[in-house]
Amino acid sequence: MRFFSLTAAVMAAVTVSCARGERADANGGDAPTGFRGVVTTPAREKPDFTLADADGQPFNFRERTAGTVALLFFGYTHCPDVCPLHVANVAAVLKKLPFEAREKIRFVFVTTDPVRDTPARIKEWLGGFDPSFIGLRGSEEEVNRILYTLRMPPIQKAAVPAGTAQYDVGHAAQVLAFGLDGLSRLEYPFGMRQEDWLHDLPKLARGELPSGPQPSGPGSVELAPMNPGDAPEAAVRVAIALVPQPPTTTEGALYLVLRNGAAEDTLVGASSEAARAAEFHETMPGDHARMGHMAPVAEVVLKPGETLQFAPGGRHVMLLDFAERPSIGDAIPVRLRFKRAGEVILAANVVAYADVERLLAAALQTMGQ
Amino acid sequence: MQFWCAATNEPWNWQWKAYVGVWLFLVLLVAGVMAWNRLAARRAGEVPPPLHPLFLVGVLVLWLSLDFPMGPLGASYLASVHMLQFLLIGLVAPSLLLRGLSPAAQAMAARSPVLVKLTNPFPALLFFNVTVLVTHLPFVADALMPTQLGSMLIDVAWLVAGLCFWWPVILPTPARAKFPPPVRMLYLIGGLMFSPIMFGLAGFLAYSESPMYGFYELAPPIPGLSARDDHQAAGALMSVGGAIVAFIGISVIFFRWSRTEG
Repeated sequence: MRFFSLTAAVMAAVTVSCARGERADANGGDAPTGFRGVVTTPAREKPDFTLADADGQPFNFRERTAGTVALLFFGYTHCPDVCPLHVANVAAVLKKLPFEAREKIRFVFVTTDPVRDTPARIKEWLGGFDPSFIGLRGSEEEVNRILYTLRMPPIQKAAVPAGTAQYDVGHAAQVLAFGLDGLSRLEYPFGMRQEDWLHDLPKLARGELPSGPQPSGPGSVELAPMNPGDAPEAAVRVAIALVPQPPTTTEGALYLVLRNGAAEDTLVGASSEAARAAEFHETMPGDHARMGHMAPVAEVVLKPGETLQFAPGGRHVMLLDFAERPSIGDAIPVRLRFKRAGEVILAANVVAYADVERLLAAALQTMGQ
Repeated sequence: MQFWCAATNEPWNWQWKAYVGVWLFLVLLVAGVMAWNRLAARRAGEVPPPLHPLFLVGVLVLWLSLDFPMGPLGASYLASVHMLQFLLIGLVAPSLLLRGLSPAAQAMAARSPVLVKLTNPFPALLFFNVTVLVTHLPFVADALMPTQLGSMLIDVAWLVAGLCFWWPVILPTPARAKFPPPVRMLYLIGGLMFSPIMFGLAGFLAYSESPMYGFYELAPPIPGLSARDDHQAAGALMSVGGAIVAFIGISVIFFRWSRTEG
């Protein structure tokens, strides 16, 4: 009898667990904005550009996607990982949406590798995922100008020896979502799953907009263009800020991915309205004489253009004495003080510890690392 | 070089890679069984018997499932290959490896109360099913699979659970009067062929709205195979593979039983 009770309990566990995997949105997995995508402020305006589509016809992005949810992605068809995953996931999710929602969504792919991505190649590649996807092609200069307008990093291509067909192209890894109003308030970095798309796309198609606390201040607002030749001097760019839900109110860690601009800067302090104090710490490995421990760090120097990660097992910002225990889904305001860039205000998302590594890795991908 | 197969986030290629941990594990397994047989024979005053050929087939099955290319494909890229690994490591290999234990070694093992309890049919069935369930829960697999240690933990858990599951079916020691061949066949039918755990997991894998495992959904893609197809194949493998292994086991038990009865 006990055996059968245990079996029943085990069966109940698998049902709950697997159902949870399917319906994460029903369990409070949303960000406070109501969307799974990353909110970007200020919103990006839909760029007005014309490139050739896969049939060689001119395609004006702003006009041809007016009144629809436009998902804009810059990638290349020889991409081994990020591009086919994004495209495949969006295609798989669109197939599951009701006709009315699907009709309101356009997926536009702009190649960052016009040399190898011929119109025929783009058409064939995109058609393998969803024949309704729109592929656009322009020169690298044209695409870089669009990227610049959107505050995204330019195409990064190592010098390719003549005759070499195998090479990688560095590009932004996020999909920009322009809503029915023509503004992009959300982006979807690498790491977004089909269930995330399935959660957000119907809402976007209904014209819903992200709400709730949103990041502000120069850190997340000044998404500095990455082309030093064209751009004004870049400030610090924060790709992600995460606080794994602490077990108590005593302390919690803040993890970040940030990229410095063109000049050396120093992170000298941090504070948060949600905690009494914030300190920089570094996890020091143990040795034969001493156990692993946390050591305070006075300041962190950022070299020009350096991408810095505050991650588990390394550097982190320790937030001490929370006023109340943060819940998953909360956004904690944090102020970072830089010697040069000044104060950067950001909203750190409270997430489950198990999600930290994945989200940090996704943010690093977004930064082109 | 990796110790054990785990995610690298690099696109798949057919270039051979060495997994030293797998070789070391197999060497230790063979050496351990040989040492156990030798020790048991010495204590029983017998000559150590040679290794059973089926044991070596079991080692071969284990090696094929853990090493290149099945190891890295299952540990990093495809849920369907991961499922094939589960069938081989958790179901096929243990049934063959147990043949490596000599009667004297089995008798020596039967003196351990923990092992006797663990290999009792009901606890063994429960342990096996709980292990299968836990190691296939999305949040467990997504957390463990990206690391070499986590990936190894899952493989070893399958093997240990499989050994416990098969022990009462295959080995006569410790003797169990209440576990005659017909009950053994029912044990395989309930535990593998129509296991609610395996059927439940296979159903979720095959029919869930979006891919169950984020780890495989976001892995560098293998051209021509979508995450959805991969998960469906994994679900089909789990339900069909378990049933096939059970069918073979039941057939062997039945024919041996009919020979003794006849």
